[in-house]
Amino acid sequence: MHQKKNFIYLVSAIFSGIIGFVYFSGMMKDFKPENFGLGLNTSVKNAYLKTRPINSIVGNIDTVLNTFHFYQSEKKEIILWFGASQLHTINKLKTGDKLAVEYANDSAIANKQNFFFVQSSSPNASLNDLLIIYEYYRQKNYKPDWLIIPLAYGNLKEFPIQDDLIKILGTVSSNDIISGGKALEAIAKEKQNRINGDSHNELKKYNKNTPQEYIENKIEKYLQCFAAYRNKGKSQAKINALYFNEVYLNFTSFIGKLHTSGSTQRYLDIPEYLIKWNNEALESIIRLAKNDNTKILIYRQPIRPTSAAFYYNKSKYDAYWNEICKKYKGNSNIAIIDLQNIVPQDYWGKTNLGSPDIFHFQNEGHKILGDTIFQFLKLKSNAY
Amino acid sequence: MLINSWGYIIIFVVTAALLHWLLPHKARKYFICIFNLLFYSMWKWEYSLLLVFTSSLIFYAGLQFDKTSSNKRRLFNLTLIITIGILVFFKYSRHLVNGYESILDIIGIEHIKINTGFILPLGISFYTFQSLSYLFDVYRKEIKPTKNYFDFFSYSTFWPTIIAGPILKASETFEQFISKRTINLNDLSYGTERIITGLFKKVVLADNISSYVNYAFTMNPVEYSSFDVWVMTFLFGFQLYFDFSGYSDIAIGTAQLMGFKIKENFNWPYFSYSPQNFWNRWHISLYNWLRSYIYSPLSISLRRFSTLGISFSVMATFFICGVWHGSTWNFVIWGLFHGCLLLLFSVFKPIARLTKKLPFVSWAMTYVLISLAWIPFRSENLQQCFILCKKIFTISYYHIEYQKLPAIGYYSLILLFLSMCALYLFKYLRTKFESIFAKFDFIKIPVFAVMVFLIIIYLNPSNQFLYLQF
Repeated sequence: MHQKKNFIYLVSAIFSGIIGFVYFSGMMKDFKPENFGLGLNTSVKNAYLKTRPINSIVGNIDTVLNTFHFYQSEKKEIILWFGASQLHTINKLKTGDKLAVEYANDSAIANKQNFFFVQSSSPNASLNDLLIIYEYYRQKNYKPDWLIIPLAYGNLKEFPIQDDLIKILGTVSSNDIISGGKALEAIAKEKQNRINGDSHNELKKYNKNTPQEYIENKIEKYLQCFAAYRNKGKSQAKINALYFNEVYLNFTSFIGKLHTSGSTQRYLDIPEYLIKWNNEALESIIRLAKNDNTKILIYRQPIRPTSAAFYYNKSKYDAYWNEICKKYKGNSNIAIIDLQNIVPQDYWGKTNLGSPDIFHFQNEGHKILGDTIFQFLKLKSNAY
Repeated sequence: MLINSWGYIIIFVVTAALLHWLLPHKARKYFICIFNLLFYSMWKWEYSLLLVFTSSLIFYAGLQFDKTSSNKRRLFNLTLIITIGILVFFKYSRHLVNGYESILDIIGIEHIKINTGFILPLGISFYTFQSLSYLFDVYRKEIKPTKNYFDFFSYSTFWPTIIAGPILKASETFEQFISKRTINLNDLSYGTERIITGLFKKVVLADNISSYVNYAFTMNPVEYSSFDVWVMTFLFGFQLYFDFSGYSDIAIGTAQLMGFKIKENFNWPYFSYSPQNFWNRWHISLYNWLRSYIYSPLSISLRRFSTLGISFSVMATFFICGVWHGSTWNFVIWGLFHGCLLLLFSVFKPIARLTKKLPFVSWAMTYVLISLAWIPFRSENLQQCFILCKKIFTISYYHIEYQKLPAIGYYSLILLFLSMCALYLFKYLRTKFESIFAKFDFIKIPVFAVMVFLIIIYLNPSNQFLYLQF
């Protein structure tokens, strides 16, 4: 009797688990994992110019190549705008809201300026990640007239190179390595390392080209017929988000409350070796751009203008920015602009913790950024 | 084949268990042999020839032991050398050749590069030790050699355990491969529960911890605070435990569905109160193997040297334990460190007394020391290992301002630790008040339902078991 009861319990549990999965996955149909981590009410947005896509996120660069090609053939001055999540997200997104890249294009059209802005961004992109994106464009033979690079201090800590980005990069030719220098060479090596496998990838390759891989692919293909299974990735992201929000953040605030004496705010430092690693990437981008006759605009990314909210070491950030300015000032094909405080306090969102978000802003912030960049380039263009 | 996959669940759990019981008893060993080969061929079929060769060699040696007594020792040694030779060739030749070439390079002798680019056969350390167990036990007359090759082959290459254990000792399990097995609803429930628990440990816990741990071990350790190093070390301890014990659970559960009763490989190892106790709870099958076939004969032959002889035997056993895990110096350090800990807790009287008088202090000490040993075990290389150890032993790095790893790891570690303690307490109470807890058996439904739900969501066969590399 006990045996039977036990068995029935287990069978019921298995079926409940499966039904639970189907139900939960169904609910996740509209969940957007890409919005998680951006802060409260901050969402990812895609940008268009006359129905043509003009922004790509992470590795989906191919989505904008046709538009790039179209406007190149229209003899437009192509401005390729790189960045991190700030560029592809809007806090409190409403119908009609636009990204900075869209506002920049609108301004160009209104001012009858022969500009076309196109954007490629990746969340938390380090300068090495941006170097990969740039090299990808170059390998596809898409060379812009202008390249815009925002300096986001917080992203300098991002290490290692994003897997989704390095995967899309083709083989880096020796010519590119010569023009790109040290950082590009390191990326080419890193890519090879990830292909060949270090000690951990060695485990991964166990499954490559085996009968098991074939069987798993067949089963996976079959399972993909079910809507619930297709949403599996979203369900996984939702549970990760739930863990982060409900467990980790509550736990953090609980510990924080215990820490009543800890009134001094901690500021994060970016390790020197990572700054050096990113500086080398910036240098590589500049060398490649020079080689292609592409002009560069480096700008200090806008942050929330409240020094208290900035959780990185501000004096080190300022020193870093000054060093960049000093290094590239006077360079004929490089323009530098500080946009740190252009977006007013009211246009910023909140983090998942409820604290002030220092990186993502609302529609108005995008308008200010897009217009400012356009105006600056217009001036520069006239000067050239 | 990798067992955290749909293919394994469908073919090697559900289909295999059903077919196994549909066949008459006499046909089952052939069925198991076929499935053993099929399982291994799901990875690379060429390497299953190596399985057949090793098994045939040991089976033949076992048969000969029964027939001859004059050449028995010589035959035993020869079989041992060939079997260990194959293991050494595949596992260590790359490092031996690299070492040899480096020496030639240093001396300045020109040489041709030797190609050692072959893949390490999956589970070679496990199936070699499992087969050798039969050789040892037959040689010592602890079991009678079988005359049926298929009986032996079904044991030596048994698919649930072939790639990551538990290592089956012939004297304890071989009989089950010959005798008639039965199954009841309890076995069916228990086996299924173990498989679900194992998959949960692997795909939900170990794989999620691994992303943080792998990130931590890829970063430059120079930047870390001592707290960072402790967090990544403790988290790796959890990852390894969930990963490896998860595999063992799946293996034990699969075997149970075919009527096999396999001994436990883990028993709450992080609640050990001494290193000796730890090895009775962690990878138990390997420790038993080493104790039976290396430590015992060695310590008996060195008994005239009393403590010195025992100390040497312990160190030699743990040296082999380290080398068995991998061919780099990190594993040697890990093994020798464990050997030292064992000696420290058994020979050094004040510490030995501590385990009895202050069990909590002894537990905390053991847990910290065992965790410390994971540093060489997980480090990418010796350099990283030394930097991390330096961080641990330098007071000035114990400063929260230096914290570089994301805080989520810190909190997840606390959560894991508290959950583990709660589960241990639950287990203790359940054993003590069995009749009361039996009334609440229905709790199993939501618990296993949540586990199944999360397994479906997180199951991803590209995440490998850590012990596959050994």
